[in-house]
Amino acid sequence: MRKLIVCNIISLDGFFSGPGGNVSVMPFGDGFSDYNAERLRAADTLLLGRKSYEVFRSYWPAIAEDTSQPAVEREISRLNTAIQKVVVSNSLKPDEVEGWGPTHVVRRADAHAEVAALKAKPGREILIFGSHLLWNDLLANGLVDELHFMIGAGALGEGVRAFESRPPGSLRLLDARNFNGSSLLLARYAVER
Amino acid sequence: MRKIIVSEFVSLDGMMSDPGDTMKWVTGIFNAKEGAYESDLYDRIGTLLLGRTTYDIWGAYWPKALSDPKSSKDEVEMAGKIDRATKVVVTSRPVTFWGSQTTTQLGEINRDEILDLKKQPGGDIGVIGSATIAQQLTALGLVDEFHLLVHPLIMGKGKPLFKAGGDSVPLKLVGTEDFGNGVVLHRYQS
Repeated sequence: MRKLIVCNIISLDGFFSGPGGNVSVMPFGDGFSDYNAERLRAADTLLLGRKSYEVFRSYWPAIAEDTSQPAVEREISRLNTAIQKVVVSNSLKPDEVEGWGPTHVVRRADAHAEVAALKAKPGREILIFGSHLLWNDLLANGLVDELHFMIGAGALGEGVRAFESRPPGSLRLLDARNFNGSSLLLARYAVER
Repeated sequence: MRKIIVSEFVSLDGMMSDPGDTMKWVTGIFNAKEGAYESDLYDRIGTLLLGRTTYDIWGAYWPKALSDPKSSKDEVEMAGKIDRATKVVVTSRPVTFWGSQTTTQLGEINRDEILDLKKQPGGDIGVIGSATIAQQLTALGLVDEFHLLVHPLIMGKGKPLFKAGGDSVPLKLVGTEDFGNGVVLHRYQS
């Protein structure tokens, strides 16, 4: 069965972003983009909530052609465009997701069934970036296999909480590492069932 | 100047205790590698700076562990280290002191008094448990190191280490250790 992997940066005090979805205050560090690119290369499907889809779409497409950007950023841009995207949204219409690579929209009521069907098909990893409401819901419904958190070196104090639910079982640590000299600690967990 | 080290068991979502405050999520998986970390920590610590609740709970446990013939060798060693540390308990209510060393009572966390404490000679100052004290020291910028033993669970509800609505606390990751039981130590410097 294919794995559904959630890959997010979180602060030490468990925030997904600053207030109002502001990601610029997150405690980023070296290795963030490299790890995101690694996950993208291992995946053939990117699952996104509506907000993350809109943020990604407004930012990523132009990066590929921007020669002032580091190579890894341009690669992420190309991969984000090319990958099959599934957006969970009740409001987005099919024509609103045209023009940025293969994308289809799934209504929220159909999301669990769609994800279960995707997992049952052969293929590479199914990846979630951002999309905390979506992944918390999938986690609570036993559909997430792994949680990969890049834990930033700082507490925000306020912001959007990353965790809305507890997983059905406990978590099993797969590994923990920090990228050379980076302030980020990547901790990867399997969701036990 | 002595350093203040805040060393805490936390969940992945940053909680220090579960709603029932049982600590079973810690004791259930605690292993020899974690024990070695604790042992090294207490070698560094000359003074324990504790909140009232933690001070009382430890007072009910550690002195007995030191003298109980049924205690394991490791427990006796740990109890000895805890006994040898001087203590500062932060509370304005009457408190029963324990241990062979002095316990000083502070009515509240006060920046000048804590700086005086740091200026005294001796080993580093350890803050363990003591959620309110840890938060107050953090807010005053008086913590030098955070040692977070991150457990493989999402607590949901509980007491957070970093106060919600508090200021941001930027830190520097200086070390990582995998204890082999699902717990990962994150060491940070301010």
